Amino acid sequence: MSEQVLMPGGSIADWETFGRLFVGSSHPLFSQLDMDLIHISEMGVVVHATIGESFKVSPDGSEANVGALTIILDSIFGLALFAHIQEMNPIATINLKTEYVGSPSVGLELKCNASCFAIDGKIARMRGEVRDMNSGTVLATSTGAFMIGTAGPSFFSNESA
Amino acid sequence: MPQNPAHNPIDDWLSLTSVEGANHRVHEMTPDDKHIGNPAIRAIHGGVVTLFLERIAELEISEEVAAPSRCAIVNTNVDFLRSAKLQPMFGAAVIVRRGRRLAVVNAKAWQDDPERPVGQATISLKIE
Repeated sequence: MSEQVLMPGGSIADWETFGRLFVGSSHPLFSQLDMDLIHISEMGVVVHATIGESFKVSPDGSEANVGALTIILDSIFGLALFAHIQEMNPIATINLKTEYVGSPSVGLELKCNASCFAIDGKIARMRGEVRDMNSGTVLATSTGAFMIGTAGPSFFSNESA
Repeated sequence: MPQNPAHNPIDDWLSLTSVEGANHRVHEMTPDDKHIGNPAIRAIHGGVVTLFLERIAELEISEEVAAPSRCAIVNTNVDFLRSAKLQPMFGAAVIVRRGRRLAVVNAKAWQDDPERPVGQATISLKIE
């Protein structure tokens, strides 16, 4: 894995710093999922997350909306793809197929992983899962297709690619 | 994993409102900064679009299911057709099949033009 990645404003950082910034608390959506990078490499990413109160299903319960899991998976698929191709090319999610196999709850600590398992031209295939960090129980699994090199700007860019 | 479709705080988080149309119910989400995915283009996050589609599918089924039965999403296949800008997003859901224990719903989201959807999904729900 190359050591450095171009950051906003043209500064250079390592991939781990980039990954922490990508999922960090400065992002208004990701901050509601308290995401923190555990591992990043070309082989994949592992992220710790905790579902926030915003995703409660009922005011007086702790059950969380499963959609929070898709938000996490779609996000870390993007991060895993950047790390895999070693470029900050603009990318876009084409589709996602998510199986919800467990019940998430607010405050539950999650271990989330994602990796790129195939690239066909400009199409990347991703897969990942979200588990209860303590019990190891699978809560959701997902696969997705991503387009590499879209017309839009990359994640941190202020200019179109 | 059952989720009560009738009263759900996620509707507040999505700023979701629903209006009865001539042929079907139309739902509207008013996005803000907390729904953004890529800050460079200020687009709504794909996971948020998915959550919106799942939620309107739940609401559609909730009209068909008598309390105290509840529904839970089994799986979702979503296609992202265009970038969803930070502006109101609309959606409608159609029940493809509704059995005693399982339902399949198609949901579509659009912004400026219903004929140019930003996303569509097929959502399977179990009824408990």
